Amino acid sequence: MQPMSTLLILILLSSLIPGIVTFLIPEAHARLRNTLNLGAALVKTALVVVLLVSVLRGDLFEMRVALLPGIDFVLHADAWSLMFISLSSLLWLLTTFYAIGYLAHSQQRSRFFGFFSLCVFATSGIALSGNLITFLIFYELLTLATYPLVVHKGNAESIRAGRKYLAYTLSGGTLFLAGVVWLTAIAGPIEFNATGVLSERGDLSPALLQGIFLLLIAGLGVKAALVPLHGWLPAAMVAPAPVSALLHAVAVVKAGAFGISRIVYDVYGVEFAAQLGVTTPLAIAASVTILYGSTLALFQDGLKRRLAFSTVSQVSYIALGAAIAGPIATIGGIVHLVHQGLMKITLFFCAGNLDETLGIHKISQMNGVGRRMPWTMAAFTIAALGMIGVPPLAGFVSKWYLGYGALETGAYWVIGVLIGSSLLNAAYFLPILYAAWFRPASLERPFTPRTGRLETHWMLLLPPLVTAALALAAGIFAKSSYSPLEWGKLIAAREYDMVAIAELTFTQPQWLIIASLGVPLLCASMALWPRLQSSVLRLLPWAALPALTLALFPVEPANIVSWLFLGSVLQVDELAQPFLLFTALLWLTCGLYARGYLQDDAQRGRFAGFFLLAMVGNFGLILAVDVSSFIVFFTLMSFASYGLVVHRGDERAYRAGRIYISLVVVGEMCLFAAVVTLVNQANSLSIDALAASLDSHWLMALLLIGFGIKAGLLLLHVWLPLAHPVAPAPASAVLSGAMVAAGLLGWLRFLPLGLPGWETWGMLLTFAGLVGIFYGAVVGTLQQEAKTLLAYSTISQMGLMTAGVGMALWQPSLTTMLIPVLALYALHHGLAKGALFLATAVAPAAPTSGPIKWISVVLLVVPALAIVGAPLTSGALAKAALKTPITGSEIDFLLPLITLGAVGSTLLMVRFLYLTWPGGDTRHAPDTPMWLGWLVSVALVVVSAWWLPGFDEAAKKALAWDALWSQSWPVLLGVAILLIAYRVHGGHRRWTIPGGDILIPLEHLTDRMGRRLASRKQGILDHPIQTISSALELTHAASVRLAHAAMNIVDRQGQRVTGILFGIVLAGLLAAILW
Amino acid sequence: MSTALLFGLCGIVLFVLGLYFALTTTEMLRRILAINIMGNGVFMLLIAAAYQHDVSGLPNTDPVPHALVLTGIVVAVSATALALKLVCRAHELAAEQREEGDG
Amino acid sequence: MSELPGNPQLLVWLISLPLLGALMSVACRKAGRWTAMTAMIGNLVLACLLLAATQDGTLRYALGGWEAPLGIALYADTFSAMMIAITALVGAVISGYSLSYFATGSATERSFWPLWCLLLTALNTLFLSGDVFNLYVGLEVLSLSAVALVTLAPGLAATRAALRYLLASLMGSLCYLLGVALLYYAHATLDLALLADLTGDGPLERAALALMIVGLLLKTALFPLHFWLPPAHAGAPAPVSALLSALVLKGTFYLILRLWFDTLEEAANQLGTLLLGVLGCAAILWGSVQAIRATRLKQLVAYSTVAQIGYLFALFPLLGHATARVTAFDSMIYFIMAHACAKGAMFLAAGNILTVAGHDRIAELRAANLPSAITLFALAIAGISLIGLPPTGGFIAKWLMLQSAFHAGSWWLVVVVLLGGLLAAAYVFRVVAICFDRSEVSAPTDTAPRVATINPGREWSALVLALAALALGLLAAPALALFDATALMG
Repeated sequence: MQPMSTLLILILLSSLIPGIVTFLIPEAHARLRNTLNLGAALVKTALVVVLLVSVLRGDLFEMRVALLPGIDFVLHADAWSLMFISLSSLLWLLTTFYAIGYLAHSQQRSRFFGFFSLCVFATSGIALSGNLITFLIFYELLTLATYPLVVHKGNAESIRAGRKYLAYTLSGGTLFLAGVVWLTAIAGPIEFNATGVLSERGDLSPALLQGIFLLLIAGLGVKAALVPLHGWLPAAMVAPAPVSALLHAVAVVKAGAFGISRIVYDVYGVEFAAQLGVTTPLAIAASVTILYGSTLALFQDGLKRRLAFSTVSQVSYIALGAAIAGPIATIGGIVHLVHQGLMKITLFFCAGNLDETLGIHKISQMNGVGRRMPWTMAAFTIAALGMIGVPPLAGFVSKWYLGYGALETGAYWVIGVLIGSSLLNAAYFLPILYAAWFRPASLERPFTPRTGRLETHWMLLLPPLVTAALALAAGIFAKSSYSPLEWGKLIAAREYDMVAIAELTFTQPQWLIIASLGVPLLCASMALWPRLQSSVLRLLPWAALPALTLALFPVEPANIVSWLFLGSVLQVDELAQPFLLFTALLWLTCGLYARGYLQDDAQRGRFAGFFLLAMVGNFGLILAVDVSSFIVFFTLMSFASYGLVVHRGDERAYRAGRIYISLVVVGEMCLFAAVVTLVNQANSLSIDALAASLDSHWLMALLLIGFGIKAGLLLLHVWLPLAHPVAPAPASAVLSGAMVAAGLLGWLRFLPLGLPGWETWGMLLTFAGLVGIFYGAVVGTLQQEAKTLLAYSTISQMGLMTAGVGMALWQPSLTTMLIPVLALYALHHGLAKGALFLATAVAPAAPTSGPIKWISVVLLVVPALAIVGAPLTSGALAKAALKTPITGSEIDFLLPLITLGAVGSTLLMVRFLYLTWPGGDTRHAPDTPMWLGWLVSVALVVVSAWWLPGFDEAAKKALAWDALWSQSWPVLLGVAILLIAYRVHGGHRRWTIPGGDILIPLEHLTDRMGRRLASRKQGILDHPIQTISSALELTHAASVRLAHAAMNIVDRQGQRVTGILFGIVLAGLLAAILW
Repeated sequence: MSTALLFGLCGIVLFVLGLYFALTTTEMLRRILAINIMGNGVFMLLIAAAYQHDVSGLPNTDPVPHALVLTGIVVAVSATALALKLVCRAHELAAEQREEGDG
Repeated sequence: MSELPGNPQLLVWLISLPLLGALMSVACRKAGRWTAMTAMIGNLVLACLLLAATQDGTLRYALGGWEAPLGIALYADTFSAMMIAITALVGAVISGYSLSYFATGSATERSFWPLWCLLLTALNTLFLSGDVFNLYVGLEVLSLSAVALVTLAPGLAATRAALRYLLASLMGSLCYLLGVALLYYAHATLDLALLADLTGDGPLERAALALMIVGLLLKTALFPLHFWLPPAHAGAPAPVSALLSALVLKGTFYLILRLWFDTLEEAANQLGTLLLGVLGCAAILWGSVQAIRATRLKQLVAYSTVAQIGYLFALFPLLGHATARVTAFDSMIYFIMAHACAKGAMFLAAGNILTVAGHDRIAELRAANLPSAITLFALAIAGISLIGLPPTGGFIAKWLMLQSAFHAGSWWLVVVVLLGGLLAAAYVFRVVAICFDRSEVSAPTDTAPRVATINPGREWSALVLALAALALGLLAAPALALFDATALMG
């Protein structure tokens, strides 16, 4: 087919011509200018769409003009260039929109928009370049076109920044030029070719090619901000926000990264490059950049500077993808080009909005800004979480593929880099989010009240929302056929000369499953509207109804949603059903309770939002049977719970939240590492397959830690006693009842239960669990606060369940019996613990006499008895069920320990009753919904004992009268011990352990170290850079002075020197010629 | 040593002398003079060249160098005139500036 | 092919038309500018015709029917036609600028036009003459008219600069003349073509070559013989600076090239070529550094010329290299053309800035007292071409030069060229940054910023030249096809 060129030229002209015309528009004609620019952006987007469609149809696009003798100027369109050009034209459209709003009152707008268009012209040229020299031409043009934008403000600072920008980029351009000319001189004009041009040239010396590669990458690395060539990027932050967006997301940085991948893939050919040994240094450089950029970002207070360093780090993922020579990593790198663009542009838009609307440009000023600009901060949050790599956002997809790809090629260290970077990302983004959403606004900077209906100008608000939505969609719909991921796969297949494999399968969606997740999600999104916040609170309990229905009437076929995440499979299997049942019930009652509890809370909308999101996460992870959706929902739940933990917003809540989120992030990283490795080994996304292919102790440890944090495994439990007391009661109830069980579920799903070979781990886990039982009981009994005590009770109870999991590993033959039993135990514990937590806010406020007191006492005692395992309760049933498989097996020597555990529980519960005994505390008068919620939850505890399918054997045993004594004696023993203890030790107050037990000494330790560091902190972390740079400046200044002095001497002597030099040259030339 | 060679060498010596002074003097008038001496040296060399190439068997019969020397003198005169005029003007301007500076 | 373009009489016309223009513009004092403009445009047309004519072969014309060795021949090949054409083009634009630069009817204006026509005559003579002595006359006319043009600027500094320029140039001319005399002494002919056939590499020829080259180097202002250039170019009125920088230096450079690689090729040796190359490299670095240090805009541009001349000489070692010479020659032509356009544009733009702001002290210039965007664009595009960034002519020249250097394996040259580009960027963006600088001037100025308005014609002519530099980058392939480097360089 004849190549077509008109469309390519049109695409270029669609931003060149408006750019030139814009310069001619007088400053005052704003409407004309805006129309022209928006029109051009729209036309360009349309043209790109036409191009996309035509290329998909198989048309060839190429344009070729002679530039120099033997060298052509080539434009062409392949999948890779299409991806880049689609991204840049779409983002250009949005940025133009944004810029019009942002610069509404600025000077020199014609100049600004003119160069803006030229910049996009150059970027399109870079995308469409068909050979190296064409690329070079547009690459340099881009440098030139962006310079006026960087210095647009025209103050001394921006001029300085501009100088720095040029110094870096032009030096880079020079190196690149050298590389390109050299390569052209030895190998002829280099056209971009899918599998690399140089790989077919065996006649060139490898050392030469390595040298040229270094030159090229060094040249491109400046724009791609590879350390140590990144210095211009933070400096260029003085430019207006749309420019930063353009630099970071659309054009400059991307051009560098795009160029690097062009060099690796299309010039050298990735396999050839790996053979030359140049990819590993590149990967190392990229990794260093990733970590270094993130680390520096931590120390920035300026919002835009922090974002800039974040870009330094994030863009190198693209280079990393190129450098890990494997198709999967290639996909990761390629797709990150788009993903990073979407996320980073959102962040910059938001930063611009804050600056423009509220004049905020420092992180320390951002306290409480989420309440003033909720939409902006919502977009910011999505993008920031995406940057961290939180599933299901776009950033997760990139990291997933990068990690997977690194394992594929055996570059295990890359996983460490990815994890480290994610941790750092979390460390510098999460405090911003916390400050924005949960900190009260500082008093000395009261926010200006909003003037219109919207929080800021609509043209400023729309673009970040769109890009944030796209970043979200790119992750959620990663598997749909037009997603960046699919494009990335297409390109990667091309670069590796493979045929793309179609993986798309569609089945009938199960509406009930969708509803059980969709309804709470929908309600959560309603919480964003301030007006709807009260109604959201009212809807809170009912959002769990679809899930409850699903649990009660399970549907058989799986809900395979191949476009969701990485291809998600949701279904209600045997394991999921009990979990879903009690979880849904618990969420429902807690929702009911929360309606009353938070009635007068100013932040009830926010609470409802996080509550619902956590609910979605919880349901989703129970339903998920594929890795990607499991991880996605697990993370969603973890992060949403953070909002619940810090809800109160005081210092204590903040501390709890900080510890919680740190552990969550650590846990997520462990899981990510483990799961990526497993997926690589099993080559499947199904959790069952993963569990079966687990073969390394490292992975086992990672899984145990990852889920152990949620499950409150001993030593990893420290967040529980901190988080529960500060969270609102309904939140504590779900945290303790439902979410903790998620950790258990994770173990049950992921661990290789029933497979031999893990006995040692099983033993360890069993003992850890057993120790946890008693540890939780002892520490809990010594608590002063009911909710802290309950948290320890949870630790104790989870210890029992952990021991159960451990036993299943220890004795694989018991697994089939233990798994349903553990599910049952989780159910019992969830309901009972939920009821107890709900009691903490109601019971102490009950009157000290009268029927209500006795009703409350009954309501208090029933779940407490259930926890203890007193006869005729669900606890007795669960314990009996747990003991059944163990009895008679090789490990029945553990049975007494489990029974003794009940003594511990008794201690806890007696102490709990003491703390929550109806005391007529009138400060928090409970209202009807709270009573109702409590009542229902207790009723469920009672009912669950008598109505549970599938445990007939155990139920018969548990509810039989003849077992009364064997079930009661531990309880009675416990009561007795406590009574004796009180008698012996009159004052129990001396015997308290602060919540968080082992954390306390740890914190002291880190505090002291931190303080010691802090004195040197500036010196160690900030100053080395400053010291070095100031030393450099001094040297520079000195040398400049020296040179000036030298030159002045020459200048002054110039007249006389002329003659002498003339003589010398004459003599020299004569000599040279005569001899 | 033939006359032509003697003339030629003399011309070169004159040129070198002129060059030396043109390079080392800072005073403008002297430099102009030195440059004129350089020119004269070249002209002498040209005349010597005319002796060298006898066209019709007679010495000193090559007319071309003579024409060249004549042209050269014309050029030299006009260049010197321009140089002198510039020196005068520089002098006047400097004097003016001094007066302004004083007043 | 029609009769007229192939007619060698074209060569005579190219010399006599500007001369006629000079005489006429002296004669009719009032309409002097229009007479001169007519001559310029006529010259441009003739240059185009010559360019077309030389595509089919070289032209040769013996004046008055006297053949060499006695007569004086005129000679044109594609190279000289190219030089004539670029001179005519740049000259015409600068003339357009001058129309509104000089106040109508002033004494300065009345002297400008004849002198400029004379300068053009001299340039055309240099490009077309096939006789070494005729070239001397041309050189002298060139120097004298150039010096006279410099003196159009009032003030002591300009006069002193002109004097310095004159003396340097006279010394150069005399060196050249001594070389001519030596050549005549040895071979008794002045015709370039005959000399090329006759010369061997005896000591006399070598001495002659050395003398001629040194004399011309002084006029071309190759480092370290450039000291006269910055004050003269910076002190002259803007269009004159443009003419001197863009065109006059190219005339003498053309001559060096012709002598070194054509006429006296046998006498020229590797060592000398290398020496010129090294001096060229030194010029690039020195000129650029001085431009970075310059305190005044025009001084900066003048030093940039010193650096750019360096590129031309840096190409000498490559021109002497067997495999790299064709590309190097292309590169040289491109440097000449791109520099002519870019430097012309830059000086014109600098002139506009000087007029509008009332001074050209870089430290005190701010966006507020600059002329309109047209001038600034001209400045920026010209600067970009000087740096050698795409898509300008300077980039093509640099690309070709690097390519040829890689072919020849001259690494040091690559390093110098790249470094020179960076230094050029440093001084160009010193100026470009001003266009965006809206901060306050820190030092109080003795002269209050006076913002004058200027004729748009002046702004547009600067832009036209800058756009020509840009077009050279875009149309490299057709432009290079206009002459055959292989034929010229063997």
